[in-house]
Amino acid sequence: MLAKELVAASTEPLILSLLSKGESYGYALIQEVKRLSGDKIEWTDGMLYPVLHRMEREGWIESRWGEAENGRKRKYYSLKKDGKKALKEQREQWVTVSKVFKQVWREQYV
Amino acid sequence: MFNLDKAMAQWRQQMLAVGIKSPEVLDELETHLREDVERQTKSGTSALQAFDFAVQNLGKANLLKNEFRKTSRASSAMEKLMIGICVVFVGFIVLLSAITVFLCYASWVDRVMASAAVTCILLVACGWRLAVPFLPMISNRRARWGIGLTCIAGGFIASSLYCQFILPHFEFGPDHQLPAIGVWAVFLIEVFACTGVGLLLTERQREIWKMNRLPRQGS
Repeated sequence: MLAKELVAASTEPLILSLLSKGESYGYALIQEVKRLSGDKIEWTDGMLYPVLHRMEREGWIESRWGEAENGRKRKYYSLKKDGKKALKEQREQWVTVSKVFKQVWREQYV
Repeated sequence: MFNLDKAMAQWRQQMLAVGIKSPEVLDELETHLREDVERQTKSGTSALQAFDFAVQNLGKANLLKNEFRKTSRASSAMEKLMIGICVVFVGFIVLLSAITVFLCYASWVDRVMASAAVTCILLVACGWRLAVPFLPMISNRRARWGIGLTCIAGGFIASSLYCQFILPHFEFGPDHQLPAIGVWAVFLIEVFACTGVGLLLTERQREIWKMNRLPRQGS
């Protein structure tokens, strides 16, 4: 399991990254993160929605009500232009952190 | 026998009790619960157990409420500000119209006629979006823009024709003052313009309007 703080910090970039692949909805986003992380990242399901709403208010994503295959009403989210910009910035930051770690650990174990 | 719809209704009541009152938020969370219950029951869990797990996974109601409160605080403040501005704006129009009608027209028939026109103009301005879902959807972009813009232009043409051919039959006041019935010319422009704008809306924008009016799932 990942530390709570790390999960919280990675929530927005993860949502942005997943939505950059195409529109999706809350439940699918949670399942996708679980699958990709091998169950190591577990969001409290309900906490995702306030984050999605905040990101929508910031103009990063937009939502629409649609109909699922079974006829159920479902809210879909998709990335907006500002969201793509935000993703680019956040991605650069995470890549930098990742590079630093790789570098430090390589030097330690050489 | 466990009834999922009943359990959902009770869960919504609990959410309302803690203060999560937005129907849209509740609809979204209910959809989430139903998806979770469906996935669990497919893998053999009983509906009752699946529902309990799904509610547990969703998180405690109070925590959820706090998280939503953080995100909705700013938007609800903005909404209130917008409503306030609209109320002041509409109030200003009503006041100005009332003074103008009272000063310009001496007879009560003219005053009623002009006031009715102003009332209809305001009603259309405030409620035209409710009529949008009933307008035909034109999927072809060019045709949509063509028809929408023609409709808007048609309002001005209809208003001009009205002023040209119908208004002269009515008595003008001193200094060529417009007869009260002339105010309806603005109403004509407005109705055509609103219809035109409604026709210009894309399928996606229409969908949002339409979907927000769908009856609640499972009920």
